[in-house]
Amino acid sequence: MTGGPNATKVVALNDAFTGFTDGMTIMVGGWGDCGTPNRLIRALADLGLRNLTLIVTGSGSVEPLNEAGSVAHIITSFGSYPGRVGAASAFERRCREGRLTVELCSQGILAERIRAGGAGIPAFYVEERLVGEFRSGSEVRMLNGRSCVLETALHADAAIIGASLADTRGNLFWRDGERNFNEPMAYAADLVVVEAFDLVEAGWIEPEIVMAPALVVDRIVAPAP
Amino acid sequence: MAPPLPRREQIARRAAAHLRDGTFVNVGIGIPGLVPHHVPDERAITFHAEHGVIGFGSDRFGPAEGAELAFFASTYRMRPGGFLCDHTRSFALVRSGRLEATVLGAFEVEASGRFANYRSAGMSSGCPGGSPELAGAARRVILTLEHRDRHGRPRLVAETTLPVALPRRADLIVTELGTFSANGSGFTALELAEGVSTHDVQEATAAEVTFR
Repeated sequence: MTGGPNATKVVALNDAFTGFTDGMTIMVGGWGDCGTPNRLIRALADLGLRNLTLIVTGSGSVEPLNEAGSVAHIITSFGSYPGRVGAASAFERRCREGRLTVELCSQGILAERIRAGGAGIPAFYVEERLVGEFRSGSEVRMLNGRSCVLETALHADAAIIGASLADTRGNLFWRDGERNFNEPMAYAADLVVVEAFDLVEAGWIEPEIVMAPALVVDRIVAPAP
Repeated sequence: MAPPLPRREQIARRAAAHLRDGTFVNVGIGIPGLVPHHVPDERAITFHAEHGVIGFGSDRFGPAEGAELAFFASTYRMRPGGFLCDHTRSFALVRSGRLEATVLGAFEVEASGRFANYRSAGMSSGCPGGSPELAGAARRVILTLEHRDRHGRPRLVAETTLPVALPRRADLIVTELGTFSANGSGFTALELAEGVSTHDVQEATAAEVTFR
C-alpha cells in the first residue's frame, strides 16, 4: 500500500497483474455467472503464465486460463461438467493429456478452508459424513462421539475477485448472489485484485455495510467504460 | 388444453409435491433448480441455493418487486424476508442440520439407495459441488433424475458401476415415471405417473420393481 489510507487503488487492467508470476497459487472468485471477475480472468489468460495452481469453485469459469495452457493444478468443487460442452472443454483435454491435476473438495468445505486461510486458522475438523471421500488430509479424530477429519486451510499468493460495488480505497460490497466465494477470498491471499462491477468514491459505502474492508484489497479495476 | 410439460419439468413438479410445507429446502443446478417453479408461495417453503441466496421463489409467479436473480440456468425472485450471504454462511446453515430436505440430481441410483452423482463415465474428474455436505446433513435426500440416460440405459440399477462418494442413501427417487424408494434388493414404486404402466416402469429399470 502506498500513498496513505485514502489513496486510490484503481489501476488500469494492464497494470492489474504486476508481480504475477509462473507457478503462483491464485484464487478466483465468483460462482457460475454470479460475481465472477471475467475481465480479470481473460486478461490473466492473455499474460500466458505457466504452472499456476487455481482455487476456484468451478472449472467452467476459468476455461480461458485452461485454453491458454496456464493451469497445472486446480482445487475445485466442479471439475468436469456433465454433457457435451463439458466433454469438449480445454479443462477436460488437459486432464486427459496429463497436464492438469485436480483436487476435488465439497463446496462448503472449500469455502471454509478459504475462510480459515484468511482468518489465521491453519486447519479445522469436520464430520467425516459431510465430506465423504473428498478430504484434504488423512487425520481422523473422534470429537463429540463422531468421526471427524482434519481439513487444512487454503491461502494463496493472489486472488482475483469480483465486487458488485467498490470504493476507490477498496471497501467492497456485494449484491444478490455475487458475494459467494468473493468475500472469503478477499481475506485469504497476499495480493488481492478486485474487478469492480460498479465503482464509487471513498466514503460512499457506509461503514456498517462494508462487507470486506479496504485493508485487505490491493488493486481495483474499474468497470469497462 | 395446455401442452404437456417437458420431462424435466414433470420430474420437478413431482419432486415439489413431496416437499413439506413451511420447511427449509436446498435445490441445486439441473432438474432440482426447476423445483421452485412448481412451489406456490403459500406453501411457505424457504429455498436455499448454495451461493448464499436464501428465501427465493419462481419468477413465474409471486410478487414482482423482489430482485430478479439468474442462476441454475433459470430465473427467480427474492421473496420478502429472504437472506443473502457468502458461501461460508450458506454452508454453515447446511452443515448445522437446518435443512429438512435437499433435492439432488444423480447419474445412477442403486437398490441399496446409494447413488452416483459426481462422476459419470468418460469424465476425467468430477463435480461433487456441495453434495457431500448437503446429502450428509439434510434430514431427507430427494433424488431427481430421468429414468433413462440419453443412450436409453436405465439409471435405476441393482448396483452402480459409477463412483459413489457417500454412504448416505436416497430417501426418495423421483423420475418422469413415478416416485420410488430403494428397498435393498430393488425399488418400490410409491406412485406412478399418469398413463404409466407397471410394465413400462419394470422395462426402464435394471432391478426388480415392487408395486404396491
